Amino acid sequence: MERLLLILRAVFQSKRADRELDEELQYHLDMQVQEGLKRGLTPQQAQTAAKRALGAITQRKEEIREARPLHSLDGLWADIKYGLRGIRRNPGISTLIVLIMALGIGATTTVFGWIDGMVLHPFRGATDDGQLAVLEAVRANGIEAPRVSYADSRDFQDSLRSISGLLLSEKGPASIGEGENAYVVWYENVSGNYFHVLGVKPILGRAFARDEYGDRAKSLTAVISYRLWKNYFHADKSVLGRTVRINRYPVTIIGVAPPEFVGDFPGVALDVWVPAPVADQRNARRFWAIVRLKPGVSISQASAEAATVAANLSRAFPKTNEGVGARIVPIWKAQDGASSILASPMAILGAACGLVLLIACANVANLLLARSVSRQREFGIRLALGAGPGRLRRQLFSESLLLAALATVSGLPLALWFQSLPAYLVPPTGVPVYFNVNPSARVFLFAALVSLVSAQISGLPPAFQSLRSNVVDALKQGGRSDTQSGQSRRMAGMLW
Amino acid sequence: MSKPTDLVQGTLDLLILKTVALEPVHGWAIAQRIRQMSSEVLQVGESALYPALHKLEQRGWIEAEWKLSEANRRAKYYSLTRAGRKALAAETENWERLAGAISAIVRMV
Repeated sequence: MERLLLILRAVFQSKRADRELDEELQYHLDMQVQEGLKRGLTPQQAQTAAKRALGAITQRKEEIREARPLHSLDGLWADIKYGLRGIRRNPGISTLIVLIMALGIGATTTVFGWIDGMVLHPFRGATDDGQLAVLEAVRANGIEAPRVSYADSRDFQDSLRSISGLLLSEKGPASIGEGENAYVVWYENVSGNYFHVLGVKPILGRAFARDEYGDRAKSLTAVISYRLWKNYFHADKSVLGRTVRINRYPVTIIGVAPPEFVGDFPGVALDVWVPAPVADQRNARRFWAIVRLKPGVSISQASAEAATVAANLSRAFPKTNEGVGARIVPIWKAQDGASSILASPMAILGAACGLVLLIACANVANLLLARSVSRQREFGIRLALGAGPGRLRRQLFSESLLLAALATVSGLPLALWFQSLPAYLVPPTGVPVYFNVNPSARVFLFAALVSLVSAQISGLPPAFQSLRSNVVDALKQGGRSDTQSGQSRRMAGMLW
Repeated sequence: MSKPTDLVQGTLDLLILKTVALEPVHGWAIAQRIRQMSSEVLQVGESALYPALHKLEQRGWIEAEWKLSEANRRAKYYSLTRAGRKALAAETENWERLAGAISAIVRMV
């Protein structure tokens, strides 16, 4: 407890701690003077002797300060203020640096946003989508579509111990309404546990009940998308319980999905979900299957288990299941869906942007290096005044961090806008193509990380270079300040 | 910027702890006592003493209090904490082992 107080005091009262240190040393000085007087020195001599003895300690004050806990926070504010002043002093070069970095950080963040939203996390609105994976049928010839039949899915659901749920869906176009009000929507025939497995809760009404799915279903029900509810039903709350005709069948609307939810198939936005009539033939393989893994289970474990179950099925039902295996894969490795189509181009794009960022960092490092050469004198003076090399390095690092932060702040809005662009590039086909281009928290985290890393990369060479500066050389106002030293030239050569 | 090497690193800590253990003292007095107790052999410079004192304080082995000194002035008095007392015992034992080992070697020839 007392230790904690000490730490807190050190953080919030570093000024006071400095004052107390001065007072303590002053006391020591006075005692020393008295001692000198006792030994018969004149007051003048005693003063001088004492001051000389104590003079050595002013150089070590920084060391005493560094002994304080969280000392590093101490000068942070000073560093930031100093860095801002440096930026204002060189507005041209600073703007250039910020622009270069903004380009690098912006481009990388944009592509990360695409990879994050379109490839890795396409299921917007689903809860804990990291646990969702695709169950596929695998055939030796690899030609037929990798879909799963209802009857097989029952066996997978019952025997796979690594999953907590399995949903089925099959999508297609449908007409909603009749006559002049008819409207084309994309709908899905789904299993009754669809919303439960995805972890999606309707914002209006409810999801399907047990007796609304399968053989027990007396009538058809539907959950509609928020988009359809807004555009077709004009956000009318009395839509619940209303019966509409979907492909001429009477269907009762029981719920409205939340606005962010668009379905379980990457690349397509769906508008109506209806519990599917059950087909019992094992070879009626027409369903897209998503499983939710139990916590702590890896995809490869689940996949191995699925393969075993499939092997058992082909032994038990050779007529329909001969040569049909199964596997569980992450969404971006599935044989179907936009995520897997986009995975490799996005990886290439990401690598290219990483290179752009590296080149940007190298350029910035060069500009900073040029600036640090002209600042040799300043560093020399600071070293002579007792600043430790660590203190100087921190100063330089916080300067490049400041620049990177400014670059991120100016590059991020651009990146977020760029991220949303694929939505405008979709040609108007009959299919409601949809990409998840909404930035997640991960995108912001990534931008912060990239900013930190690029500050580190571009700030290191100047920091090393400046520490090589010799106090005496730097303070001499000779030709040093206008010709580069061999060291800095070598460093610059390496960067270009 | 070399650090004073008058004393083996770590030994100064032990000397300070020992001095402070007797009664609360301020920095000046610590330097004086070490000099007197060692019959003028050990001279502790200010530039080594104060960093060491502050380091020990941050480590929680000694604590400081502002009090009036004999000269009727405000001075920072250091005293041993409970952790410091334990540390002193450990450091003393360490020192004795080390000193014994060194003198055993030195006297061998």
